Amino acid sequence: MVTALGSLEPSFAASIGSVLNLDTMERLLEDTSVDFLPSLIEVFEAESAQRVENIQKNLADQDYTALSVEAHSLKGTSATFGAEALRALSEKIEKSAKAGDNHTVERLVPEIPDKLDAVLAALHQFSDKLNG
Amino acid sequence: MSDKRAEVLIVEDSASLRKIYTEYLRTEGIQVDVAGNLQEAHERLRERDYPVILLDVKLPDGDGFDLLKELTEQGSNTLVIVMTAHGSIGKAVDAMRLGAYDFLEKPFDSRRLKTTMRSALVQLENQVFRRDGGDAEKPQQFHSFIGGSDPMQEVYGLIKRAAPSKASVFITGESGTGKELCAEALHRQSARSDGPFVAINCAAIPKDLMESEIFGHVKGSFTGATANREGAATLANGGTLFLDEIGEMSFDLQTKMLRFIQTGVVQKVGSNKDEVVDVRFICATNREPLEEVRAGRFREDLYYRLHVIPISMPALRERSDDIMLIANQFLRRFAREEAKQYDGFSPKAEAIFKQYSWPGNVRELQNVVRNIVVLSQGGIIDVKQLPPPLDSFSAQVKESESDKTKTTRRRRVKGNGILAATVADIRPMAEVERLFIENAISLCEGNIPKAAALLELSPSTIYRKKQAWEEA
Repeated sequence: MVTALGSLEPSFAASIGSVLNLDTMERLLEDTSVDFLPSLIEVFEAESAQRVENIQKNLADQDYTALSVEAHSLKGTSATFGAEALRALSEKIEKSAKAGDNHTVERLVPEIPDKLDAVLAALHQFSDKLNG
Repeated sequence: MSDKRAEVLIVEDSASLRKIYTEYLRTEGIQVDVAGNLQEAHERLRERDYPVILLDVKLPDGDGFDLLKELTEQGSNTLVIVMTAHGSIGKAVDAMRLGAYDFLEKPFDSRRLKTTMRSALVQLENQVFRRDGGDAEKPQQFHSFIGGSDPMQEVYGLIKRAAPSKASVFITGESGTGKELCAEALHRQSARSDGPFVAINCAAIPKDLMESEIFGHVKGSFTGATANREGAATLANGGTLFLDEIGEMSFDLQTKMLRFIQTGVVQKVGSNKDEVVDVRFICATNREPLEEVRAGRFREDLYYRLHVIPISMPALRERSDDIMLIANQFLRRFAREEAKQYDGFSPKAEAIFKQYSWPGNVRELQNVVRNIVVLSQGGIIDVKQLPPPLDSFSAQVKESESDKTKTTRRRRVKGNGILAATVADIRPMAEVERLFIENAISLCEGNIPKAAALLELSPSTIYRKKQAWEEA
C-alpha cells in the first residue's frame, strides 16, 4: 500500500499530514486495506460524535470521573489514526479531569469539536483520494 | 476448537478500535466476538468460554482488571491479553501479576497483535497436555534442582506458576545459586519447551560483539563479519531467550533491547530488514537491579519491562537443610566418576558443612565435594579431609562449640545494649529503628532486599527511610 501514499501530490500530503501522521496512516492501511478505510471512518465518525456529546454532558453534570474515561478513549482512538493534535488535547483533558482541574477542563472541552472536524475532514479527503 | 467458533473475545469500548482489531485478526483467519463494556463481556462469558480475551483496561462501566481478577480466581484457562495506554508500563506489570498472559501497549500494529495472538494460541494447544505432574507435596528435586527446604519450595512454586505465561522473568541471586538452572526449568516447564532455549552470558562476551551476538549480523557489516550470522534473538524464536548477567549490558545496547522487547522486532547489525520473532525473555543478575537503576547503570524502563515476575534464588546458607542433601548427591556422582567408594560424611564434617557460610553457594559446595573425592581414597569423609577454607573454619567451629551457650548469651546481652538500663538511657524509637536497619543492611553486605526480607519489611520502606536519613 506504500504506493497509495506515494501517489499523493506533495501539497495534498502536506495538508493532510498537518492533521494526521502519514506514517501511522500508511501502517494502518498496510495492516488493513484501502477498501476498509471508508467503513472505518464511518464508525469513527459516529463514535466520536457520541463521545463529544458524552463529554459535554459529563461537563454539564460535573461528572469529571466519567469525563476522564471518555477523554481517555478519545485519546486512544485518535492515536490510532495518528491525529496528534486531537490526541494531545484529549490527554490534557483526561489529566485535568483526573486532577480535578475543572477550569482547564471547561476551557479545553469546547476545543474538541473543531479539532475533531479537522481530523474527520482529513480522513474523508484521504479516503476519497485513495478510493478514487 | 471448531473452525467457525470465535477464538477471541475483544473487550474494548471504542467501536473503531474494535473494528480495526477485528480486521487485523480476520486477515489472520481468527474469528472474533466483541464486547463494548464489562457488562457485555460478562454476557458473552455466560454463554461460553473463550480461549483468548483481548481486554481493555479502562471501560465505561468499570476496570478491565476486575474481569481479569475474576478469571484468575476462577482458575480459568482463558489467556487474557491486556491492552494498556501508551506509557503506562506500571499498569502492564500489574496486569501480568494479576495473571494476564501478555500485554499490548496502545497503539499497536497488526504485526504485534498477530505475534502475541499466535503465541497465545500455540500456548493453548500445548496447555492441555501439561497439567502439573501430580508431584509429591514437597518435592526434594525439581528439574535440575536438589532441595526440599521451604525457600526452594517457594522457588519451585514460582517456576510452576510463571512457566505457562509469556511474562518476562527476572532472576536474582548470588553467584552459584542456580540462576541458569532456574531459567532452564522455566523453559522446560513451559509450552515453549519444544522450542529452543538460548542462553547468553552478557559478562562473557566482549561489549562490542554483544549486539551481533544477540541480534546477528550481515556479511560485511564490520571487520570480521565474513558471513551472515543469526543472533540469539532469532535463534530463540518460538522459545526462550535467557540473558544472564544482564547488568553487564551496555547502556546503548539496553536501548536496543528495550525496542526489541516492546516490538518483538529485530534487525541484524548492518541490515535494515525487520524480523519479527516470538521469544520469552528471562534474565538474571547477581547485582541488586534497583540499585543499578538508581545508579544510572540500568535503564529504568527496561527494568520494568523485564522485572515482571521476579524470582529470587536463595543463598545456600539460607537453606541449610538442603546442604547435606546436595553434598551427598554430588558425592555419589563424583564417586561414580572417579570409581571410588564412599560411606558418606562424618557427623563432625556434616556439622561444619552446615555451619559454613558458603559464599560461593552450590557451585562452591560442588567444588569442595569434587576436591575431596579427587584427593581422598574413600570411606567416611572426616574433618581432616576438608579442603580450605573449610579446614580453618573447622578449627573455629570447635572453639566456639565448647562455649556455645556462653556465646549466645553474650550475644544476647550485647544485643540488649539497645535496651535502656536506666531511664536516662532511653533513646528515641526512630534512632533505635535506624540502628537496627543499618545494622541489618551491613550484616547483609549492603544487600537491601535481603535485609528487608529478614526484617520482614518491604525493600521500598528501607529505601524510603534511607532517603529520609540522608536528607535529614
